[in-house]
Amino acid sequence: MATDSNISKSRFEGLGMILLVGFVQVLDVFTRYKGGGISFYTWTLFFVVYAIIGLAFHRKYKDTKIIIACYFLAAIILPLLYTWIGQSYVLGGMLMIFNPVWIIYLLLFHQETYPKLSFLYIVFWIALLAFSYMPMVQDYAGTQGYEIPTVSPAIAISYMTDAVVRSWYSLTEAVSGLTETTIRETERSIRIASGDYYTGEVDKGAEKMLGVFLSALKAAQPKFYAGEPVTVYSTLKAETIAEPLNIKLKCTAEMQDTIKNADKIIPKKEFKVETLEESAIDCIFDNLNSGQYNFKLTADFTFSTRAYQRAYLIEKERLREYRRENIDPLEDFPNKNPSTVYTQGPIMIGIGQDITTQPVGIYAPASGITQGPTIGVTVDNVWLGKMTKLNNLILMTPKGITVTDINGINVEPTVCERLPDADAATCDDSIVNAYLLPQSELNKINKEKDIMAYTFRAHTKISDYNKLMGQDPISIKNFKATANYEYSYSTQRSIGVESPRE
Amino acid sequence: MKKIILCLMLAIFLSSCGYVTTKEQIQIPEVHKGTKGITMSFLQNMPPSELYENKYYEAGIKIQNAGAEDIRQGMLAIGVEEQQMIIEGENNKRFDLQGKSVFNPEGTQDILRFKIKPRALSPKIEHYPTEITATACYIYKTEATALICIDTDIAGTIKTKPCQTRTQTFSGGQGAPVSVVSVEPKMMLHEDPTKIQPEFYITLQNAGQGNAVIQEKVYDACSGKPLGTESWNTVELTARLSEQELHCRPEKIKLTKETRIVCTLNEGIEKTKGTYAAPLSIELSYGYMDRIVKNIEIKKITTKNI
Repeated sequence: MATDSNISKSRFEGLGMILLVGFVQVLDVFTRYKGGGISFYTWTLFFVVYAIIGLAFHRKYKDTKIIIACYFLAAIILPLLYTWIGQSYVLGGMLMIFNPVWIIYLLLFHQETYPKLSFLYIVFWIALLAFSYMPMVQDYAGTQGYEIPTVSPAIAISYMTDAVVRSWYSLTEAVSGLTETTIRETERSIRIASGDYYTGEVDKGAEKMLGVFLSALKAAQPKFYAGEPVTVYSTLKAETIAEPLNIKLKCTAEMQDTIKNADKIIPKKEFKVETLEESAIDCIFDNLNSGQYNFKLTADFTFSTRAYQRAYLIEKERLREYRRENIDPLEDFPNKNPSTVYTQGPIMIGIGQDITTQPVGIYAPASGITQGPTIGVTVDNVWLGKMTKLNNLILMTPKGITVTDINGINVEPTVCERLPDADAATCDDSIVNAYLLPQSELNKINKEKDIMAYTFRAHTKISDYNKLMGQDPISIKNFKATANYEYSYSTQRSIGVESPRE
Repeated sequence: MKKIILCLMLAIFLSSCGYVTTKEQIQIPEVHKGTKGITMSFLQNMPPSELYENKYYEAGIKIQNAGAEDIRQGMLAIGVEEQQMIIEGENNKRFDLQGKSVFNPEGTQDILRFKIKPRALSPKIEHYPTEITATACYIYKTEATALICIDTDIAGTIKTKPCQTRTQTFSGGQGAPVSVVSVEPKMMLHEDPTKIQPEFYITLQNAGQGNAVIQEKVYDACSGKPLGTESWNTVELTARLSEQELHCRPEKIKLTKETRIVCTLNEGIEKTKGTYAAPLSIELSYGYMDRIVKNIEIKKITTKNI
């Protein structure tokens, strides 16, 4: 019984020992076996550490000669051989099999403590060698500058390490993006639930995809080295109609708190797009230190989105009469519930409240009531970029409906010619009333760096019933909103820059 | 005998040559049949379903009186989304259309044209769906007649009678959108014991596609003017038994899904007149409004579609 207890204790200690030496030797692989200029202090450190290990084994197992041989192999001979032979040779790679000298020592000479580990060790190396033959590892070896074909467990380990690092960064990027999206969607859901949100549908019939699009950022080379130019690239696609699109590009490499701007952006940093532009964008960083960088290409541009909500207006008393008589006044209309339609682009405009339930009842002057329908407008960022500034927001109502206040701030209609050129061209003072969102509201919105889901409510009165209703029993009208804003859209990727090449 | 054989042979010969013909039925058009007043349709490509901004188009509406009543000074108004389309000139026109008759079994028709022009679309909006409506408002009448059995023998003492009092139903309408569906006669006691008082339960229905409206406000129905209460689905009814006017309650009738009203002959009928058939004529007067809608799409003129 006592013997069994001693064996267990011995095995437990032995397992701890093998894990400890294994950890030290992995550190060695990532320092002295990585090539390049290794400092004198690193070599000295491993001489000392291996000496301590050797002395500990000697005290326990008394294998003087073998331990001395192992010490010299681990501390000097193998790392030197690896440096001389070089990583690009098969032999260099094969040396890695014998690199864990202390582990091999324990497995070969003290099997009684590790009855199954010798077998596992052999299986591990055979599997690693087989893995080294796999095409992706071979390709990877080629990209790393090794001679082809090169079969090396070291490359296989390096490939796996690289893959794990890349996966980790991809995962963190995805989690970061997901978190941002989740927060945004949660806030949007809260606003929808509270009723403070009006939705719209993007103009599905539009033939053009309007806006600025950046493809995923890519690295020009499989590996970058410090001191050498680093090039990342993407494809910019921009399309617009009616208004020119001014795009400013910015390219940065971020590492912790350091942000470095690209030294060159090819072909240019600024684009003016009249209709369509598609161009490859290269960001070149001349001198980056080694490390893991977050490269980011950002396109800043001014854009406008327009939306309209159609409404069927009917005299309120007539509507009541229709309802009392169970008559559907819109029976002959194929689309009884038109929804807000907005043009393609980064933001959504929803127009709602009283004008979305059709038909909309309008008080006749005889009723003595002048109250008009309340109009709610929501502007929301639906792309993954950021709306950085809202330059102006225009609301147009049919003539006859006058907006009295927006979010409680009194407003007066503006004349069409004071609107931005593109809007002024199709605006007619005789048929619409145009309103600009008050400056105080704009200032409030623009305090946010990432504007999202802004809603305002406009109260109205019927100022000219006859003009509004005209000669039609059902008057078809529309309410329009236009947002002019600045938007920032980015694509980013994490890429490592290696230590300088020797 | 020879003569008989000769006649028989001649008859066989003539029949084989088609000389003997069947008696042809002359079809007299049933003018007072159907549930339509006016029928309307947009002429093909007037306007087309796709219109380009700032171009002139013509909207043509074919209007036909498919009922039995003549229309005088009917109104046809077209409606567009004013912010997106302009109507050149007035948005309404008057029309006169004769109803169906023996000589014109289809009724008369007319084509009314309006000039329209889509306005320029807002920037970035390349197409805009909207509608054009045509609303017709006109005064119309429904005339129904039935031969009703008047039976003064309420107690049923006489066994043999020339007719029996029973409910009469009218299927297929009377050539107008508001129809008389049935008439149920009932012979009631009169305050004068020598008389009986006939009562007629008349069932009405709006069988057309549009809405009935009180006559006086029919043209307002085609505009945005408020009509006030009690204007929609209101018809006036007059009824006569032979030459005697019946008293109908209420005088202005609100149409529901199936409206039932009572008309009585207040002065009654002498019991001595026995049992006989008498013509009952019913006349409904009302305004009527029909509407058709056409979906159109305004498109921006681009280099692609020039």
